[in-house]
Amino acid sequence: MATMNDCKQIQPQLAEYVDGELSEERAGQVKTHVRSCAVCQSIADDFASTARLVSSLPVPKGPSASFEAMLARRIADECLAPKPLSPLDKLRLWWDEKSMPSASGFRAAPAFAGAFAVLVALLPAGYLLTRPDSAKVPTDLFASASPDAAANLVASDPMLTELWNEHTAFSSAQPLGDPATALVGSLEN
Amino acid sequence: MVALWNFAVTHTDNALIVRCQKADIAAFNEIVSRYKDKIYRYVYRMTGSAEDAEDLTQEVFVRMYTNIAGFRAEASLSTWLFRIAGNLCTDSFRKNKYARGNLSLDAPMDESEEGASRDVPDMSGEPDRLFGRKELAHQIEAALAKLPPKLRSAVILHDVEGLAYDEIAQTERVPLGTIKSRIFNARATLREHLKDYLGK
Repeated sequence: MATMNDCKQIQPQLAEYVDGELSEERAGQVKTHVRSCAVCQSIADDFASTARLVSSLPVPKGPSASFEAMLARRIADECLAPKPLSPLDKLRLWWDEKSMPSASGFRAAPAFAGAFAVLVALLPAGYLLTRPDSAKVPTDLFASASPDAAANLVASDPMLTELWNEHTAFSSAQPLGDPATALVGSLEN
Repeated sequence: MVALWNFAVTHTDNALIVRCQKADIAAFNEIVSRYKDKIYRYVYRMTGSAEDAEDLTQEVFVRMYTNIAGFRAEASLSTWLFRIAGNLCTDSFRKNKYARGNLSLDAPMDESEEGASRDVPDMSGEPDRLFGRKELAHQIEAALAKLPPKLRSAVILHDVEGLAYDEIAQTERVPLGTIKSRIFNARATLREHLKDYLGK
């Protein structure tokens, strides 16, 4: 005699039972219960009927005759056609083209890049070699040097001498915007 | 014998995939020829529309072509194609483009029968077997349309395509227990909608 508890355990397995998805042992247990329970038997029969109905649906004709030709066209258009270039791709392409050796074997892009790198490397050295002499004057001189030492320094440096002369000629009270002015100011004091 | 056949199909499928990965278009065409009807049938049952089934089946093979390089033989080719098809159907349902919820039991069966209601009884006294079969098919399709897509997919893959529960789980990438639950719920819902036709 089947009980309600049996039904609660069996019913969730009825789909698997009618679909043949249960193990042999489990299927045997369900079968024994179903034979003694009209309710579960009815559900199992209905489940089997739904499976038969769905599987009995007429088979559709299949895709149209032009299916494969249309697919081939889509593959050609969407997968095999060249895609529009992104800006990065264009830059790469430009670089590749410039990197190609010309008829004389000259590779423009690497040559330009090499020249640019050398220029960048030489900039600091060029600055050091060409910077104004005034920039070489140590600033602590302005604070500690005596007027005599400062006068000697000005006399020994043509640029400082020129600045001094300019200053004294125009009696400028305005700072000239470089360290020499401070030196001149200290000499006047 | 079935196992031997499946082994042979899988073996030749794998060979075709390797060739396809090397941009062999003939191998791609062979795969299309081999699986187009199967995929079309599944998508047709999912969408209920021949036109949509044609479009989505094409999309399945375009996706297969573009992603073939990443295919690993962890799953069979048919499992992979059904997965692509199922995902495309789900995307389409999300966009409501191919939603089947509007397929009513009272809707015309097809254009040639426009205006005929599915609930019209046969008054002639003589059962029209052809009409009866069409009527039944449309009732089954309407009942399938009322299932949520995940339940519909599971029951179609089992009842129409003949996949076992574990193969469906692999296709849908869900645990086996989930498929058991989906098919049980699908059967229970179909039982409710088709109660007048059960046992026939």
